[in-house]
Amino acid sequence: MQYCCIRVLNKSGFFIYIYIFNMFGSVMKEELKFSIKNNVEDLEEMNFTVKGFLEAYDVIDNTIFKVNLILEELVTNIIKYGFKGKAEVHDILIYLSLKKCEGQIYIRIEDTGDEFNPLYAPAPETELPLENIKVGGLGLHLVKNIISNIVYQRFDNRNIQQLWLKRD
Amino acid sequence: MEINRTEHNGIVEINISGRLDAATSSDAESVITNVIEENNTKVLINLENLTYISSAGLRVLLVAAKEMKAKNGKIILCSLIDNVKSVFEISGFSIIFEICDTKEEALQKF
Repeated sequence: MQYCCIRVLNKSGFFIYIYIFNMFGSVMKEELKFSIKNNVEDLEEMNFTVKGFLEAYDVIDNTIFKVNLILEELVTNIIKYGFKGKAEVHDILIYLSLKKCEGQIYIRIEDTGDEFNPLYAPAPETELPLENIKVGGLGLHLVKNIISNIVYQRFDNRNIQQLWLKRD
Repeated sequence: MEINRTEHNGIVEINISGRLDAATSSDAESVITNVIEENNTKVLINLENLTYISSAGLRVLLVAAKEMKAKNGKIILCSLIDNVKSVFEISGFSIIFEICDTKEEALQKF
């Protein structure tokens, strides 16, 4: 089995290692799979892990910014609204692939929280007078406007969000 | 994220650098709210060194804009980098806020 290992320095000064395994051929699978807990504190670690992975594959800063934004908005929504009234800690699975679709980054987020279809969320009305503008839905609105495609499925009590982002 | 404030000629300048996101937005909110509650009516938010903003960061600025409007004051943003600027454009916030390319330009508008 071949693998490559990316070493990333995290914010606390510790190295974290991302192993990318390749069982079938000589070409590395350009993918990253990891999970975080439903805590806002885990977001920073998530950003760090993703940034290290994308930089290792020469993804430019513009695109890294967008991937960061997509993950922050969607994962924050899951943390804030997905597990209401459930005290125990839950896993949120994050999977990125640079190979699944030519010129695009494939992002999949899975969680076991309450059913939530992002496609049904209304866009915020920023044309209203300032005092009447509400900020709910702003994150999803941003995400929908930077990606090229989004697919939502509810399967086996899981929310599965799949997104495709064009690489700059 | 780092945030600091300076004051010259009755204009309070708030500098936010680094990331304004879900993890840092509450710290930024308390600094900006303090400035507004002190009855400052001319506030320049300099984003020259802001590298990242998400909806959590936009929310803080919107709250500030609403509070400022209620006090008949003025907030101007300046020096946004391209990635940050596109978040403002996509969200429609570039219409809500007065945004200047440079600090000098912004100072003349108060």
